[in-house]
Amino acid sequence: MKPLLRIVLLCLICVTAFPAQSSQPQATVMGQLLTGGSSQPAPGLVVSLVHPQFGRSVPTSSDVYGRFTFFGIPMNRVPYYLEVYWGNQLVYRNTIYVSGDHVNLPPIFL
Amino acid sequence: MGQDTFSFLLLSGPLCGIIMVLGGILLLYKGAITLSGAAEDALSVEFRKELRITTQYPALGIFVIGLLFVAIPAILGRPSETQPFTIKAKTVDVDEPVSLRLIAGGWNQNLKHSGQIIETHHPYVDTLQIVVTAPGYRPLTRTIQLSALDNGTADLGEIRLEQTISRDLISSKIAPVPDHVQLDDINASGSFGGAQ
Repeated sequence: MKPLLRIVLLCLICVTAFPAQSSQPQATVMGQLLTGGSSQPAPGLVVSLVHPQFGRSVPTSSDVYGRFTFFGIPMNRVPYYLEVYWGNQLVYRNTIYVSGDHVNLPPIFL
Repeated sequence: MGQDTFSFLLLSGPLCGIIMVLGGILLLYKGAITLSGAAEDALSVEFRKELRITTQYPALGIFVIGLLFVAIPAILGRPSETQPFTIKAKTVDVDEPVSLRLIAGGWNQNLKHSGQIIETHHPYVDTLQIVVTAPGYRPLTRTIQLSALDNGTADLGEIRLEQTISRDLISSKIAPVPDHVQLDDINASGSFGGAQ
């Protein structure tokens, strides 16, 4: 194969590969934090999704009702770890699966 | 001027420049213009009688003008930088560590299309929501306008948060991570997703 043709083919592969990566199916993940004993909403706690391949998500904090929402989470068969922090102190961690485009988690009792 | 018109003008400038440079090379190749056929002061550019550039080779002018066509849109089309600003506040009667989240306002554009969406946006951040949070406290939201800041400082004054739950109501439930799984540290910056 001529070198020029090889370079052109390589460029085409690069150009077509990047949009494919960005168009990976993404999901919205919603949940609610409640206290274990009295089922009160737990506001102001930092919530993160951690994945062995993707790293750590942009963190969010629970609102006045204890609710939190992530969007643009890549769907993947490998489970995510949902982590909840009281300040810098980890208080909750569990695996969640993001396989559908809208994941509504059951209430998390801390 | 619409965004699409602006984008078209930004793209057409470099295109003209590239055509000029390639055309110049072609004319040189065909022999229609030459670099060796020098004439005295063939091309002269003067700026306010202070800066004067003179060349004996007018063919060079084509290349210079062509390159200007490429460079100027590249400078004009550069996204504008948002100036840094400072948030100043004092929390009162908050026993837990306080954190701030900044949320930019949204941009709406009226779309007139038939199924296909191709819109170029130039985000302009001016209105920001500052959410003050602390674990166990009701979050507080303040809205600021960057263009109206005094000396680049957003002074939020005294911040009082209402405590709704205390730390002793929360018990730790931490699932262990298998040895073969490596997770990023809490201090790692967010690399995917968004939050609200």
